[in-house]
Amino acid sequence: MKAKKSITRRDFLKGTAGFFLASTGLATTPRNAKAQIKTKVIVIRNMDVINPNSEIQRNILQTMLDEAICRLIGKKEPQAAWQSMFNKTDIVGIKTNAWHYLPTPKELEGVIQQRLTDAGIPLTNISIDDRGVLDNPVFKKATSLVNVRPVRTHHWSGVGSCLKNYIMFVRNPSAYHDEGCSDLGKIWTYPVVKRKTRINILCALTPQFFGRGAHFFDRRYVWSYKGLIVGTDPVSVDAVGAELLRRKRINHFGDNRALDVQPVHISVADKKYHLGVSDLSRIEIIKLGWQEEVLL
Amino acid sequence: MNVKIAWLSEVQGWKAVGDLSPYNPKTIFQYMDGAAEFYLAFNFRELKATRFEKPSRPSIIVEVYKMGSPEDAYGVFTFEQQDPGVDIGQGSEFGGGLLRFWKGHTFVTIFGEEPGQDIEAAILILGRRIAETIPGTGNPPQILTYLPDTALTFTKKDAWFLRSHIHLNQRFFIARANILMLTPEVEAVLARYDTKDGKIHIKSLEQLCGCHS
Repeated sequence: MKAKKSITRRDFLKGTAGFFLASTGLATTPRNAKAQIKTKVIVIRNMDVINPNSEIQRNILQTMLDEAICRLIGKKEPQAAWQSMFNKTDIVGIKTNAWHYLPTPKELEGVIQQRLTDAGIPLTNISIDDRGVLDNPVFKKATSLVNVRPVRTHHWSGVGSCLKNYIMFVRNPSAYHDEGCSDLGKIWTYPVVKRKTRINILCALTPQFFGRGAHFFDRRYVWSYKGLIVGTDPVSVDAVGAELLRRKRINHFGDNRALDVQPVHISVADKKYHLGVSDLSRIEIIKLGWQEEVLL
Repeated sequence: MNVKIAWLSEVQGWKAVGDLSPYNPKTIFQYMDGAAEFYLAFNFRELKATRFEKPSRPSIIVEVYKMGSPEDAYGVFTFEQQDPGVDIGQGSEFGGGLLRFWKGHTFVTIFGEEPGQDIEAAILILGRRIAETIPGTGNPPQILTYLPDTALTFTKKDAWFLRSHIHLNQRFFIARANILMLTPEVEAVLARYDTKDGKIHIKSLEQLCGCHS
């Protein structure tokens, strides 16, 4: 007698998640939607990028970023890819995130800076900053920006996202906290950052998928995904990042446990400020590298 | 308000490496960025933060918040409460390497930056000692007594003391605008009861005049 195929919990989650996404108009890439795809997001992972001592392997991280950028831009060599995004005369601000408990890893900041100098930009025309960007002399005259931060849940905005990362470009960040930080996209229309961002990177090496209040980091809700989410469209990158965290919550809790705030700012950035595509059915997610429990 | 708390210089090998300057309502943003709003909504007065370090071990970070009232300290504590209590202060919880408790006007957090039995033991010792040095106690908000606990049959109840419409909306969305006119001078409670017929949400407000609605 033929053995009855049993449905695993993973199968069930995939099936129900797909149903949920379809019912909310956020389904991932059904065949008839391919004609509508407008943006591309790269998700790359490597199981060795963090060693057993929790140390980030910079050389592996460099390789990951190179492969993601090359695939995104459509170039074979990293230098050519970066040179297609940046001119030698550019003045570049790398907008990082310094939140104490889960900052942008120094190794990731380093590999980005390395590729910018490889592209011919002098080190004196590159700066890495977070809270000091408005007073930073390089950022003040920046012609281009690299947006990079870890993806995590966030007390005010639901998800700490690429869009949220630019809140330090205003003098009164708290003015943007209302309604789940829905108007974060407005910041991207201000001259200080408008149309300057060449690449958006959500660091998903160790994302935090569930919240623990306004000020706290809960390592029970952090896992080693060992990935980077990369794209030119910040809204699409954020939509994919938010979806990753949502699927991890389902995987962990067995249901999509409610956050303090839903990340509405992502769809508002799309619908109201036209900064990019938030509809997952219109985002091509290209998954590279290690695929085990990729969730997306 | 300048209530002094006797600081420990060392516990189980972790030594205080220097107090950060006390933060007030104008400077707390320098310490925690946007998260400061959460505490400001509960009449935050002062924060004193200290790092404890031990060679080859993760650090412990102690934060002592002076709030406007015991009700505010209670509100801060209960808004994010999710772990089992450990009988420290007037209400406490411990999980994920984080100890939180309130006593009187004071709210305290103690966080170990990485897991470990020794660090968790040190956290609890620190917590108990700090709690012992906090003078006086205070009552939870009286508005909580207005909740119809005896009139409802329920299996689970959550209750939050609130002063901000943003926090209210995080637990139960009312409206984008602050239509209930919540301010740091207004006391409000939101309770959620799990009953056999479903969830029931109850909101109650009290202005400084003592009027109850």
